[in-house]
Amino acid sequence: MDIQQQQEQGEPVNELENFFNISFDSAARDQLRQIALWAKICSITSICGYLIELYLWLFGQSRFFSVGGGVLEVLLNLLVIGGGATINYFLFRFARAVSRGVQNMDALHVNSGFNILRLYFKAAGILVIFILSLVFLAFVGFLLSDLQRMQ
Amino acid sequence: MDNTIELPKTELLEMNLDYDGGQTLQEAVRWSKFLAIASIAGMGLLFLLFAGYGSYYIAVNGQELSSALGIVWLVLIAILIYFAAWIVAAIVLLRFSRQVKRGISHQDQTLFNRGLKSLKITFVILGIISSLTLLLTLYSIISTNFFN
Repeated sequence: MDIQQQQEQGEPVNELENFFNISFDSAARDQLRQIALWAKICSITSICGYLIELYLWLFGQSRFFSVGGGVLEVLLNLLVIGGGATINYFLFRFARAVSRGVQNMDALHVNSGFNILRLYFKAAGILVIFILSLVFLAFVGFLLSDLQRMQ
Repeated sequence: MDNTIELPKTELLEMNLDYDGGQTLQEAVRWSKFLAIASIAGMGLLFLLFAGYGSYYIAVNGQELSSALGIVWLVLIAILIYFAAWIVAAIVLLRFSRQVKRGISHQDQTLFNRGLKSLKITFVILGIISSLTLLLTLYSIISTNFFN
């Protein structure tokens, strides 16, 4: 009987009972191993990309966000590069914790990995809202200026 | 009298999702659901904007760009594929959140494992996207610094 059925029937719900019935069996461990591998690839390549963008922004000629210099440019670059690098660091920590947990058959590491995954999704969700609204605003601005230019 | 309870060896070695792990996983699932929905909506909107504006731009400036029209189409299609890959990753992430949430509430190990598989597919897609982006960035740096 699941929690929803128990709640519908007015029976006391013991959430502890539920979690203990879920285990990391061999299939789950195999999936976790591959998740950790791909999460590591994803985080390392992304962090390398952000480091290159940081270098180009500080010392190079091309800029990731070039809006005529000033505070806005610094803020945009810090938001995208800093935010992106931070969430990918969370992803790297998740991958490291999960791979260590699976390797040593230690559920504590895997469970702490899920805590880091929660932080990763939380930070990524907030960053996605910021970036999508910025991109949308930039696109509307570009569209309006293009229409003005054509008239 | 022997009071010891003999457990199978596999059970002793079994790793379980503990209470804290389960709670944090459920919160992670909630945030991943939000992230997936925001990504699908945002990327879908951008996909439509780029598809609409791109074809409009080519229709208006098509004659001026006649020599480079092939490259413009290629770039437009590449951008659209990029957005489509993000949308697919977000859909699979949404599936992960649904399956893991249902797996925990129904105590269904198979559903939970399927959820983990969906998370793996999400990270595979994201890993390929980020690797390609890194390669493209490196290529553009090399081509602008050494071939110009």
